[in-house]
Amino acid sequence: MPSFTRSVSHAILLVLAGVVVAAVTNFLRPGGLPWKGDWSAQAQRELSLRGFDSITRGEYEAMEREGRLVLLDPRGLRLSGATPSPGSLNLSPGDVPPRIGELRVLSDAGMVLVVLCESERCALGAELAATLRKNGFSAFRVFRWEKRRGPPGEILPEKREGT
Amino acid sequence: MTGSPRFWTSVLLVMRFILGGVFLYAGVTKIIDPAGFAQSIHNYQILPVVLVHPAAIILPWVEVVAGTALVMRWWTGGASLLLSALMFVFFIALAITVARGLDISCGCFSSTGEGKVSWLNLVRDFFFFSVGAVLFLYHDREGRRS
Repeated sequence: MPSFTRSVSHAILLVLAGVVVAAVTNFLRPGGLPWKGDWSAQAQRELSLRGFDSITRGEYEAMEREGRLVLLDPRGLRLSGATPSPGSLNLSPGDVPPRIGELRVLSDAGMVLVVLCESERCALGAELAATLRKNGFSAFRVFRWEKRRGPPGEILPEKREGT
Repeated sequence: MTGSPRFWTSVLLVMRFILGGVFLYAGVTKIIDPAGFAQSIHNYQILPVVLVHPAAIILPWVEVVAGTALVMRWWTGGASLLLSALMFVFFIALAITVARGLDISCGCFSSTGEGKVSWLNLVRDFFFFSVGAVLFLYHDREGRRS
């Protein structure tokens, strides 16, 4: 058998061996990856916020009543076009390094810092959370509101217009 | 290719270990975090989404099997051909990404901490592709097993 044909045959056999080993190990390993992935906006959000501590709406409302809540709005003033509501900070991911000291003061004072998802997909919220962690600050949680119930009324303009 | 047989045997041996070792390492880092590797593949926006997970499951094991074959000197021609073909595909994917200016991680060795895809990744891939091509063309020059 000519050398090239033999090499091609061997390459195909190596691929087949890889496929078989991959299928078997993926089937046997706990938490193996499903063969069909979910790349919807919802799944993307879950993935981008993986590893961050989230806060439920109940906890959010309780902390708000106690006056311990500081919301971090990732859209920043320029995007939100609104003066921050009392108890919230407009903090875009790019603003994190110069304002990290301010966040530490609030955290040390016993305030609970919560990154607010700007939309259901939470792309900016996830970016803000990742930027905070990258800058050595991890004393925060993330509020992922459900589309069914909508965002907190006092913070996001979409909700204000609708009410 | 000229030179003494012993010299070329040594050169081809080193090349086998470099290319095989690189693919073994790359495959293992992806097997450890398949979800992260799937995200890296998805970020390239080249494969249809239905193929992202199958690629994330299969590709690392193909790399490990072919890398092992190359290091162990089993089917060296087939293994080097396969790894060169993979390098060529990765090179094209990286070139498209650089041309599109996508701000994504390479995902070549792990899903995180590699920084943005750049021309340096292209140079590295071309180097490994060349190593694979030389191994494929001259693998029969390496001394016969005793």
